[in-house]
Amino acid sequence: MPPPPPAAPSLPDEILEEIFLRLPPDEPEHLVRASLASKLWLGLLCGPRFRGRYHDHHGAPPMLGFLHTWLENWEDQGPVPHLTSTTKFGARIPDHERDYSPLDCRHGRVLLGDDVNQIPMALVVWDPMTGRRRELEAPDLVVDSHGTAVLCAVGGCDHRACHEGPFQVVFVCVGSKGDDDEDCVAYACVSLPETGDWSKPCPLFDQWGEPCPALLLPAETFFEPTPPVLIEGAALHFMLEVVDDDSVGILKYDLSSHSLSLIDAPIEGSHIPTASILMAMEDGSLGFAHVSGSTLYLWSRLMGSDGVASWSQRTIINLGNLFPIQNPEGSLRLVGSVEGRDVLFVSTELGIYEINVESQRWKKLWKRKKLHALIPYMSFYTIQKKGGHSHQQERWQAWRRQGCCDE
Amino acid sequence: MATREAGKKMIMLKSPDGMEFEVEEAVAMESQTIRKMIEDDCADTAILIPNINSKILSRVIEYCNKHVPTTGATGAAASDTVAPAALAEDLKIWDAEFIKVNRATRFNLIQAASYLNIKGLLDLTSQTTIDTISDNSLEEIRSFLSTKNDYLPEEEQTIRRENQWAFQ
Repeated sequence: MPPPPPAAPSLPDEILEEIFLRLPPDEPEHLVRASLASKLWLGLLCGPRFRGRYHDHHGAPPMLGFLHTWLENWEDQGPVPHLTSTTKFGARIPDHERDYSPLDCRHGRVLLGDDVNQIPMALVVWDPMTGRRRELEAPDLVVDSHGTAVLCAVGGCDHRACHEGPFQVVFVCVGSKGDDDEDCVAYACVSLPETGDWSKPCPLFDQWGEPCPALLLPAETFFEPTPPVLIEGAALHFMLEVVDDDSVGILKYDLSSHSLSLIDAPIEGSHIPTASILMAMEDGSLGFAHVSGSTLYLWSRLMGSDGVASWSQRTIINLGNLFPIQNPEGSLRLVGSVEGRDVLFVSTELGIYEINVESQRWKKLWKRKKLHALIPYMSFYTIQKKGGHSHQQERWQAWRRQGCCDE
Repeated sequence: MATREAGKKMIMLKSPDGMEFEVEEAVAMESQTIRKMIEDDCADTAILIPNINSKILSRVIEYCNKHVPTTGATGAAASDTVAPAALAEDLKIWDAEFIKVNRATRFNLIQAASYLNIKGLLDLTSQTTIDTISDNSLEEIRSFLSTKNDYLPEEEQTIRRENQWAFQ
């Protein structure tokens, strides 16, 4: 093979970095292709300096795809794919994966669950970038309904490239109080972060911290099947449905104080649960979006000067003025949101639309429509070099050996 | 040295090959690097711009002249009567012409924009390069950005296998 001599001396790293910084994060194939040009470039593109600059340049990670669950009775549409790509990105799916439902996705990890074939329910944390997965068994508590979340376990992390690091799973459940009492109690359990060792091949583990003090809830209270929202990295908020009076409530789990509390929704009335969704707004506040007909109402929970948080109406948007709606009466549902981005996913008769509630910019995301929940997968792509290993993972392992968990 | 011409404060920029360019302070301050020097009172005498030859420096000044807010290169190009949208469109067309340069000049402009910290010029030059190469073959990218394939075949196969979706 004739050796292809370079036409000119190599460009300085600073010029290459400036050029590669402009590679679009939502077209990650270009980054991969560039890394294949030479080992020199691979080193540059995978190095911590370039990665840090790339993340700073582009800000928040892009949406590479999403997970979803079908509406009831729509399972005959076929099995739920693990991850539907909105880009060219292809997730790495473990060979022996069972039929799990997506429950949550945050900080580059997906949380899947199987409560049909296994009790207590089986939970799986999956990294679509590397294909690594870890199984957990849900805590052994009396569970009538549950909400779950996965999140990075490292305090002070900017969550732009931490998908290979230690994680925590939060399991919140409601169950009957017993003693013939109709009321429910809620508990929360957090998995111990040091169990997030991806380097071992999928062992089953069962290491949960102690449940938090119980919170008394009205009888017949259930979790809505949409993922919780994380506000300012400090508290998870789950939407609850109270069957008795057809109302909704918000269950707040405070990560630092390991305690549960109940927040009233900004509105009352019937048919609210299926038409409302929680949001983590860009300004760090908790948002509550509700759709009635083709009108979207949005509230924010803001701290008053007296130190008491309360709801205030933020905006009202007539969605019919933005995108095509065939039947304005009752066809719209809110199926998901992007944490920290003011972005909602709305299901209409014509498909799934993505809308920014601040700028009111929107686009059609998908032609399918019978979704129950849409869970976006937001991540910068990391070039995989061998078996999904990276320098980042070695860093996390060192971090874990030093015992730097924020517990 | 800082002088005044027609009420405008002037700054002297000097290239390593000995050329001097007298430019308005506002134009020079399109460069955040020069702005900092001026603000730190380091600009009493001529500012030497290292590693940027006179040919490239004159192009950089041309860019800054065009992009300095409110007054354009000719003084009349960006009057108050021009709508912002029209002005932006005018700049876009001008930029597209400006960046029609050979490969070496473009890389020199990237380096200059990086050192002088001129965000608009850095975006323009780097983005144009990305647009040039994004649809090219790997071999064309290697040739355009002067890098040599130093992968062993099995190493290349590993990267391709681990990131298979990117090559489909």
